Amino acid sequence: MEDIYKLPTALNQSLKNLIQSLTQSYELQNYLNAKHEYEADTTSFQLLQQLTAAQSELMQKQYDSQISRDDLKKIRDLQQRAKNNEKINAYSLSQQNAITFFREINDQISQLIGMNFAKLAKNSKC
Amino acid sequence: MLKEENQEMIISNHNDINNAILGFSKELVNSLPYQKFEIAKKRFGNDMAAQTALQEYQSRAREFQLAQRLNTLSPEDQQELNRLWMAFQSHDSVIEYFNAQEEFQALCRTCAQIISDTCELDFATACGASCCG
Repeated sequence: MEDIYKLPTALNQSLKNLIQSLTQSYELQNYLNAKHEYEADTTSFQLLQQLTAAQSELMQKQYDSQISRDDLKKIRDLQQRAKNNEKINAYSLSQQNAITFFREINDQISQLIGMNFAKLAKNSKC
Repeated sequence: MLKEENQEMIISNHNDINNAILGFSKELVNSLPYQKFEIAKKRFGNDMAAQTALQEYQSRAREFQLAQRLNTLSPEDQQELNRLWMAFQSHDSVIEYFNAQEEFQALCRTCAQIISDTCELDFATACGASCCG
């Protein structure tokens, strides 16, 4: 891993150690495998893209009060197909587990430094 | 050399992860931005004038909260609020606090970004962090 961000040496090394142990965890390995398999499968990938696009479209139509029965049927069909898709399911489940795992990590770091690490790290400002 | 069917994923055990978290947290706490932030927090906490200015601002802001939500705050009241905020911000300990906070936040952002990039999952977002708390 390159020292791209020019962190102090000791902090950089400790971060590398942390990332190595995270990426070697069951939760992250399972997530990365499921994610890569999903992304490599054109059918699954396109299905989720279609569902996301249809949901955005529906939100806009809801705002304009223009939702039709066909719109609802289209969304339900896509949702059902996504629910039945093995790779999407595996990706979704593994992502949830990885998120839970990250939250546990954050809780531990936050307890040790006396502040919420993830909150400090959020890359945006109000 | 391991046979293919005997090859297992290298799985970190809990000890590995806990030790790594401990090591990382220790270095974060030893970092200059963290130390500066802790000092600035103490100084701000001990600055009675700055604390009073903050209380005055917060008190007025609470009074005006409903009007702000309804967008009915008068220009004079808005000016009053701005004046109190500027008065609060003018204290050296407050300036130092915000600067130190930003520096430490930048360090945490960098670390979290590296984690996110390698793990292909945004760390801060996964942990439910939003910019507004």
